[in-house]
Amino acid sequence: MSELSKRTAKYYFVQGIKLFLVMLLGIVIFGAVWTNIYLGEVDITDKVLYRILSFGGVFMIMMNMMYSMYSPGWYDNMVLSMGARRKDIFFGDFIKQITFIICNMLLYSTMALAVHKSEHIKRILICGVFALLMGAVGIIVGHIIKKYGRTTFIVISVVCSATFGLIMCEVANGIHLFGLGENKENVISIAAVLLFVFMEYVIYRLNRKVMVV
Amino acid sequence: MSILAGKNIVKKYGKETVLKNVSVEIETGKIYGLIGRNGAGKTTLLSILTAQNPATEGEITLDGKPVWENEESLSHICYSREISPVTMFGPNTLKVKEYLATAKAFYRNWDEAYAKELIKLFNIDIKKRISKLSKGMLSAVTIIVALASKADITILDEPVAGLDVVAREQFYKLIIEEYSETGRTFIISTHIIEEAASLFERVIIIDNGEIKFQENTEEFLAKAYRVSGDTDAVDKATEGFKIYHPESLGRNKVVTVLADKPVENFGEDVQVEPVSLQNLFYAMCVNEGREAV
Amino acid sequence: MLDNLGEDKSIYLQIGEMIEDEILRGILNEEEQVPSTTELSKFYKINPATAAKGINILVDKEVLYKKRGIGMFVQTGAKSRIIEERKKNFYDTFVKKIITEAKLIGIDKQELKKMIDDSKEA
Repeated sequence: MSELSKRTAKYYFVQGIKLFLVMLLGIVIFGAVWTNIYLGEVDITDKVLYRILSFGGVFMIMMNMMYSMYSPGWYDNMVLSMGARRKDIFFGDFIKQITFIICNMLLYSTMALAVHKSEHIKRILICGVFALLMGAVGIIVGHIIKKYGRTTFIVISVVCSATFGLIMCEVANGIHLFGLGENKENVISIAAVLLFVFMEYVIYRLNRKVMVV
Repeated sequence: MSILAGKNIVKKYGKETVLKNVSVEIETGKIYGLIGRNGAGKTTLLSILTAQNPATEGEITLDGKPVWENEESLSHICYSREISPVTMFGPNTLKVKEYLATAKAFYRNWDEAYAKELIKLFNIDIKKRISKLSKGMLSAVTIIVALASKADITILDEPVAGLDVVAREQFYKLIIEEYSETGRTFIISTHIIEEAASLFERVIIIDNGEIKFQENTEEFLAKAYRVSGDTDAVDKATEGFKIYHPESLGRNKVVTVLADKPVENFGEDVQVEPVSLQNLFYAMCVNEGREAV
Repeated sequence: MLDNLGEDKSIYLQIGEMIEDEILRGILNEEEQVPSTTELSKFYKINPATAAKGINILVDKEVLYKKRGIGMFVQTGAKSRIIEERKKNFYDTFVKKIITEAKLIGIDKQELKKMIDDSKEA
């Protein structure tokens, strides 16, 4: 891998870690709140960790999607203006997201094991896949709305992330979705991966001709 | 010596053609001035030369190899643009130090010590957010990135916009110092022409998406004259030459002449004076005169 | 040192002239070191290549010479060489102008000669 590719990859990796740290901060805060709520109860650790696990999935998807909408018009743009290659930026966005998602998944998996609820790990994995997919969607949305100005951006990013985040999380939970039936998570996950690959192709094409604004 | 060349560049935005068949050659080891009015296409041209904007047609090469998506070529180039305090998402909340850290990550030859020196010199608080910086500080950050990148070919787009006269003089000194020491190539696009004119070994004049001139500054100015005198005398003396911006006050007429080569004598009846780069450029822009016969 | 460059002549020629002026005035003596091109270019805010060109012309004229690794120095005999050259060009550079102006405002030869004779400066 060329030197510039390595530097670009490293930069985006660091961005992924930074994003994870923001998530971690959120977890700590919520953790503190829930600890406070459950103060005095017997299995407080279990309860708090379970809470975090439940919300973690949603937040992971939402956050990944929202931040990925910023990429085309902000980070990618800045990095492109400093001599990065579009090809490397394309991979960089992926690296950032996968770093973020994997860190999250490791964290939640650890928590799930700690409370002896390893059945959650599957759900976490599915959330991870969805987060990746929504991240790709986010980048595409980011490319489209980067011309439209702040208000539009905020509205769209919040609405999108919230909607998709919740939907995806529920699907991961194995709940009925438009009558698709229970326990179809596996099928849906595979479909998600395929959809993801397609999205990446679209992003690659969009990326080819991008210019610094 | 390497050459950064743009051949037959055409750039269209929809139906609008912003660059019309532009060919330009930048030889390394020189300081270039890129001069043009607002909207002439300076930024677009620079953007395309550095592969930050795809050309609609044409090719850009460094040492014969294409620049587009080419790591080797890109690693020699730094295009430091004006940083906007406002992005489409609202105020630019990026901190200066984050911006500089990104520059450090991407510019292969980044000189951190030099950057720190310059930060101190320009008195920048790197913890501040870009949206909170004054125009002068924004320019300063642009300059810091350009200089500390230590890139072989460094491009500065309107670097002195927003700088007061003291800071501008400081900037020119820095360029001279850096150029003396390293022989780096600099391309400086500017509106403030006369101050920087003596810095430019070569000058590129762009107007309306076309390159009008790209020449050695001194040789270029040696062919430019301000001819004044009685209207008839001036007309006679300047016959056959390309003239710009003819002005008349009573029977006195003044024209700016740009010849193909230095002119020995315009005759006894007229007064001839040299023209500064700024005045020549102005005359060309305001041109109402006729082209050469 | 003057720090104003005029528009009337190529910059590198002006640099050469200024150094020559200093030699004539004794500000720069023979065998003394001349400011480097970097120093000159910083002082006058000009392109170092231009400063170098000005210096090189003086080297060609045998007014300056280069001591390798150290810098540029004033040659012995530079002063007289400059004087000789300037004397040759004196008529074209200055006298012609005086005559043109004198003609323009109607001062005749006699008056001009008298001005010079009466002048306290001469």
